[in-house]
Amino acid sequence: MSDKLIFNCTSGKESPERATLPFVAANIAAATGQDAVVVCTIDAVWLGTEGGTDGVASPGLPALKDLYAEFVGNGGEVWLCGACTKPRGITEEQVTKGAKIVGAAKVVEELVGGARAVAFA
Amino acid sequence: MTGAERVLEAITARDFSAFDGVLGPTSQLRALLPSGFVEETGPADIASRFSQWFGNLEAFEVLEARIEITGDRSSLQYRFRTRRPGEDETVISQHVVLFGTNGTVDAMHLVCSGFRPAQEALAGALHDYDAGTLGCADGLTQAFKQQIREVGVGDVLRVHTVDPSAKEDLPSIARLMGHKVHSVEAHPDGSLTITVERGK
Repeated sequence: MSDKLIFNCTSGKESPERATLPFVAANIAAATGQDAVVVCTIDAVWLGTEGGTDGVASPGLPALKDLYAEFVGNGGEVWLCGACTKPRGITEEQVTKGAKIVGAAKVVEELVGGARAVAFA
Repeated sequence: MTGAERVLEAITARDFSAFDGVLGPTSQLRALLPSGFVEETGPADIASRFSQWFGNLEAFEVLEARIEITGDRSSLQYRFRTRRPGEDETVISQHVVLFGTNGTVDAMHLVCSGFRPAQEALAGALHDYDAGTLGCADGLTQAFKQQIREVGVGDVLRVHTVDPSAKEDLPSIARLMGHKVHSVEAHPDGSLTITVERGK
């Protein structure tokens, strides 16, 4: 039985608020001991690469670079959609600490196992 | 009991001190191992070499042990299931041709498989499939489904892939389809081998 909380993030630097909000919620989950994952799709996959969160900030929200580090430090995981990294030319060598490239089946298996998906942005 | 029977009994019982009575004082072991060629001379050193391989095991099971006669020459063929302390189960096979006269063994020429992961060897037939760069959006799921259907239930399909997401995805796909994932092996070149046993 999976206890994971899965937060989907679809936006990157082009939309700082949409990029940051899933991490805000996921970080609360991770900080309170929940098994939290941010699944990054579409342009959000850049957030899991080296320097990908640099300069991503939205008024009233923490800088994503700091938030990302805090989330990973709290045990949170960042999954980058493999179908989105591939056309963008993102390789495993570019993936930053706490992130990994996964496919849709990984997410489906977690949901089948009881994980809950949260839309927060 | 012939010399071949006594040597095989000593090996399968892991009583290597019994080599003393059957190997000549200048007997030689010439062994081709996965790591290279080694030689030992005399029953004590030969026993010590066998003891290195099979002496310190948490689990040891004889899966097969037989003597083959070719003209006037005997050879041993045996296969064991083993587990070293703190490690996963493995299997190993060795083929040993014996040279000697009058019941005394003067030389053993041995070829060894090395300790291999047990799950692949214990399951059914082994099949290979190169998934190349296929990822979840390129038809990996359908291609895997088709490949695993072509092997028998209980057979093992070894999938080779260079897609980074397949490392996480293929085991999930396999489990969701009711198959058993034995291992995910990463290679230095970044490619992966995922070993799956067909479950249904």
